[in-house]
Amino acid sequence: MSAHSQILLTSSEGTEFLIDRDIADKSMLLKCMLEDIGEIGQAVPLPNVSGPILTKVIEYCTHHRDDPNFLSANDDVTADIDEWDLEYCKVDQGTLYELILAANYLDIKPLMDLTCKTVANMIKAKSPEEIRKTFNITNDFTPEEEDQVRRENGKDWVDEH
Amino acid sequence: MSITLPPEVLQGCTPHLSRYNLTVCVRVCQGWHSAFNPYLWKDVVLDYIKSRTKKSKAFQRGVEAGALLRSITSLYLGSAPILMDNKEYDYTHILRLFKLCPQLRSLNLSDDMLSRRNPIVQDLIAAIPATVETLDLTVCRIDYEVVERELPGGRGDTARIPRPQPLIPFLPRLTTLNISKFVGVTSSSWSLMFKNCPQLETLRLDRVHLLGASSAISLAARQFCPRLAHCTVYCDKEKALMSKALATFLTASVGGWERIYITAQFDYSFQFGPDCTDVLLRNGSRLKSLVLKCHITMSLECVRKLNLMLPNLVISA
Repeated sequence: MSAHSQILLTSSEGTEFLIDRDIADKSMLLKCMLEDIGEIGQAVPLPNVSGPILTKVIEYCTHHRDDPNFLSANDDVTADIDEWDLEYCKVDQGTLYELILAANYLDIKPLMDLTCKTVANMIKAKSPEEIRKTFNITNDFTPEEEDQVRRENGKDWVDEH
Repeated sequence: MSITLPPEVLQGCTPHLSRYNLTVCVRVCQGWHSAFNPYLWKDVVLDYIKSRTKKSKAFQRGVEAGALLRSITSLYLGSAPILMDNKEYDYTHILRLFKLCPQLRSLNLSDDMLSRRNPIVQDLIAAIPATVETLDLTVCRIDYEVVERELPGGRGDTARIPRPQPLIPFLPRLTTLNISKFVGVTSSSWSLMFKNCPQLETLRLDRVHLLGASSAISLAARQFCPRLAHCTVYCDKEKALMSKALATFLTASVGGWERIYITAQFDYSFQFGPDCTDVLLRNGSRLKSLVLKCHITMSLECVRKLNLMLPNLVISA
């Protein structure tokens, strides 16, 4: 199997993407699939991923194409996000969520870690109310439930650290 | 536009959030509560030494909120409050806590939990959940039940003989046992202990006197724990006898050691003697790592022998 072979992917709307095999291999889903069935010469359908999101995912995999630590780079959860990745994640929330879902579906762990870390940073240092605003979430607790959850998670029971 | 993140995605964020962040997340909405709550209650540290009354009240509340505890897999129980609201601390809370944690895999019992101030220490030990895979026991000073027995001779003389208690209940899944600062453990207690953990792979003894116990430990481990392959041992002050005691201890592994870590007090010096080396040469084909901490040394002769016979072995100090 030559390193320069190419794979055809089809997004949910039916748009076709021709990518290099080594880019496709960044996705464990595609890698395993291609190893199992070989190159079938047909397009691989990705019904869960839209064209714009697939473009974003390919952009990420292409940037990290020659990254030797691709799979281990993000093991350190406290490590800072590098500049290119930071810039890459400056997208609207809808796109960010779709990226997480795509990374999860395609099984691209570094992208999953990066996007989740970005969401985590949006959560940190906020009150529950601020989080609801940020993520446009409706508070569906009853006042009694809310009171109970607050008591169970008060500061005297769980130290901040 | 409202987009709800599926729980899998929220859970992907948990490694990047602190415990405090999680306590905020569970308060956002029902969906976030069910996504994050299992992570919040995975590892629980209960140590009351800092602010006793406040913490213990919170702890009681935690136990009462039993539903929350179902997902705990790791539990650290440190110093219990002796006084709580000027009343004697009710250790039965701990027994209830164990029942509320069906997924508990790692348990650390320290200090007051195992002291004689705890009136139900034996009940507590007997209640350790059978799901536990890693167990840490620190500062164990369990008083033995003393039985009077008539001495032979028929003159009515009696002797007070301690009846050993099992130091752990039967734990079929236990693979790692860490014991620190044990006092007064008899040889039959060691035997009862190892009998109760047949899957044991890792044994760490920290400030446990090896002198006088090494043959009991190694005999019991050989008999009951065939998988034992990793150990940490702590050297006693009696240097003259230590090498022999260590050599005896090192016969404990039936299948051969994979990792050995020998430690001591920081200012302690001791030479890992030829008798110890010989044990490893006889039964060390699987040995990958031997670590000697502090001022524990090994003669060049021994190092050369070990390296020759066990080429995969890494010796570090």
